Amino acid sequence: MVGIIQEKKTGRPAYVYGRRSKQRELLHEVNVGRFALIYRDGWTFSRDAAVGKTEADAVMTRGGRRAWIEIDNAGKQTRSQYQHKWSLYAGVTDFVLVVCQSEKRMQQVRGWSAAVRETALFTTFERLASSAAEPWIDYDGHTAEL
Amino acid sequence: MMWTKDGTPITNWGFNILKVGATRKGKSLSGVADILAHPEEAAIVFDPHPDSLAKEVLTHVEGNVLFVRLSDIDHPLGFTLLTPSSHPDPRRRAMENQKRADVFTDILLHRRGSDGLAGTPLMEEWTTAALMLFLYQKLPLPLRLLPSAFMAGTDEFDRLVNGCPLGEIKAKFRQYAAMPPRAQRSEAGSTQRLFSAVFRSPAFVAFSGGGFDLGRFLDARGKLIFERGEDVSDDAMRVIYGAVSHLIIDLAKARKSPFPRWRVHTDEATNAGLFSPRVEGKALAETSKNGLNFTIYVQNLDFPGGAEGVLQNSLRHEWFGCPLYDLARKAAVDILSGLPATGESRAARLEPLTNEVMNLPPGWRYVREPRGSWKEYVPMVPSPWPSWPGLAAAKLQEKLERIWERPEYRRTRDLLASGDRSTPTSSRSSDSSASPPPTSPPSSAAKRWKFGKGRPADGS
Repeated sequence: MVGIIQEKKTGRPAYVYGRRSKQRELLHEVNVGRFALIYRDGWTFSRDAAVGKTEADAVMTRGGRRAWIEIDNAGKQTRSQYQHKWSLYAGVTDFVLVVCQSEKRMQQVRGWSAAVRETALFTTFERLASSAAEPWIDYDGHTAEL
Repeated sequence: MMWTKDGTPITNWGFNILKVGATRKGKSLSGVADILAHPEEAAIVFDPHPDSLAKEVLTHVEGNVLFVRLSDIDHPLGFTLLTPSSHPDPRRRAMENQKRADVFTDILLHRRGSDGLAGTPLMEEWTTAALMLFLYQKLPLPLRLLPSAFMAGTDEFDRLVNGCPLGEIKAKFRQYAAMPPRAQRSEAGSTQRLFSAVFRSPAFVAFSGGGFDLGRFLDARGKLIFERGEDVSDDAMRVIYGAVSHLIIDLAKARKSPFPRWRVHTDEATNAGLFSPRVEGKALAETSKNGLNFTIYVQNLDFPGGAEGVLQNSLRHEWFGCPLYDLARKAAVDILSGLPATGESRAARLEPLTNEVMNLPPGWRYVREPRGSWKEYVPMVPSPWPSWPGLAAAKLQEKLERIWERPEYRRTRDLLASGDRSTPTSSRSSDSSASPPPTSPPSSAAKRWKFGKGRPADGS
């Protein structure tokens, strides 16, 4: 066990088992794992995700296709921080999947992501849990399903 | 074979062909005539020499044509060579990876003139181990890292070993890393040199990057012409041709319909080591029903593993001039079996026929098919241009320039140009500056995802 997190404002805290990380990063780690569980069928995940000049939260591969995963956990990164992040992805032609915690945050991050308009897809955990046929959306507003 | 109602055989073109004859007897030009006579077939031409079959096909064929010169890395086509299996079932994944390792070991080793395991057991052992190390990775890695399997102490070596989930393979390479340099050289020095010669060759790097949809091109009856060019090693040429040949065989077996038919033309199959009993030999026996046939051009019958399988599975034998008595005799025996009976004895007919085969002029051949044997002359295909000095070369170059403008080349170049940036590196502090964005016009990420236009994971 590596720590305890409180996901909601009320209710019991949850024990977290997994790789060692700082307490303040535990919730982020849990969300990475949650995303991997959603796409556990057919996709292979790895946390060893060096890409461009940065490191993604994870990478998933299937059938020769690869996508880098960025979980926007705290929702506190600013526009300039995102723009710096995307500059580190310069030249990367694989897809980048950005998962946010809320629809509002997702639209905000999406608006900051012109630099990766050809490669980035955005969604929220709520969309993924819903029955939406195409929960992912790109910069131009087109939707897709993985 | 099919028959009409009156019992005469229907000879279609859906069979394998063996063309045997000495040099300059017209085999290659007859191949050009075959390709022109059958536009309904897709054709893939493997030519290990310059100014031979590939050049003649390029001169005469029009339409949906792609040309690959292995030494011309400015105009590459990216083939998907040696990729790990991505089957969701781990057992099937293991089985497919094992098969791919075996096939590539064969491509790397058995076409070099090694007669079998007895000749190169150590090389075979380390070749198979390195391929398994590469194929069994938690995260697919680019093919160019494969030679690093023998560079103990490098980041790339650590990346390969640490990323492999197979315990015994990891242990093997960790033991290798612990050996003194001299021991490493004696264990795997030959294998390392082979791997470096092949997987670091500019031709191999350029042509193994993926991005070209070979199956779709062939289903559109395309003509894909390979020429070796200059400054490409025998090993690199053999591996590229062998791997593409294997890819074609796999694609043919996987497609739902055997039409349109595909035909692989392999020039100098035995001299250049382009024939493997395990790959092409097996395919000769199996892939006709998948709509894939072979035309094999050889100067003699010294096939690895013997010629019986090739002769048996090629329904059409074309015997051009064979000055060597023993070979001409074999040809005569084959031809005689299809000639109509006369009053003469077999022995009496065999000797003059042997002499005739030995002295056939260029362009003349004996053909042996299930419907019988006959002698014929293959007319020269007329040149599309007048024979003015320098005109043919200039026209050919113009044709090449037009071919190189096709999007298939541009797509591969774009992938190669952006290739290293999206490949995981062992060092976090990459010193490479950001590469320019792809030159293709911007498109919606969602649309690209739906139509599968993302870059493949391993750079192939």
